Amino acid sequence: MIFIAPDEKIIRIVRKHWFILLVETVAYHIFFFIPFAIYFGVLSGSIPEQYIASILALTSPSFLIFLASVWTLVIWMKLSAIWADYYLDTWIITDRRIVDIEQFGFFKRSVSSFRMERIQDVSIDVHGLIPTLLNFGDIHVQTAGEAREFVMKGIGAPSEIKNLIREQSDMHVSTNL
Amino acid sequence: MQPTEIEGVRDFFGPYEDLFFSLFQKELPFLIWIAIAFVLFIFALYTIVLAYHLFRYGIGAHIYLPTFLAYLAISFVLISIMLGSAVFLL
Repeated sequence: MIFIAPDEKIIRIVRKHWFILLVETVAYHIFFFIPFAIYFGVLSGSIPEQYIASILALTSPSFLIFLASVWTLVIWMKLSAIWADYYLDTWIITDRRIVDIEQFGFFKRSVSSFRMERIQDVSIDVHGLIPTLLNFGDIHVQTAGEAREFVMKGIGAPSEIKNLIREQSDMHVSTNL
Repeated sequence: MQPTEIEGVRDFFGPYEDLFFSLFQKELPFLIWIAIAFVLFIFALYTIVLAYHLFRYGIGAHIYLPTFLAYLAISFVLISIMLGSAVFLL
């Protein structure tokens, strides 16, 4: 559970770019639609009748429907798990700190936070054609003390996030002086 | 010459024909029960964990909740189809 103080203001909740989610799920989307593609292939006559007759000689249409429903259900659950992983993997930027939450599957979760005044350097890394065109990349935040670097990969609008963190950090430092 | 139905089966499964006949015809109810139990167990586990994450870590739950409900709705449709087709097999 993330505890936000009553007077602490959440500025922004940052997640990875949608393209990252798309890349992770594209294979499962294709797998999900395979039974439907076969069904429409049978209807349209694209699949040779010999194969259809061979399979129906072994089993019944009910069994094929059963297999297709099990297949799509398992893939649907996997897609939901990927989405939950994507959704729970986030940075919460408040007016006092940044909370870095990394979700690894369902049962591994890492939460760390660092205060704005500890931020020393913020840098971004946009690498490649697609990240440049779709405006996403990695953001690195270097903090003081343990010389620790926090990295969030594949976030959308990294320049905007970098400016936001820098503004909040500057504001926090100037009000504390 | 068009292949007969049995020749078509042999062409498709080759040397594994006997194995497939055995699995699909003799052991079918057992396999279906195993598949149903496995899928429902995984579904229950996933649903409990997703719901747990929603209520425990649900910052921005206004997005998570409808997605969770959509997950449940589509899952129930697929489970209904699975159980409906299994009724004709068991």
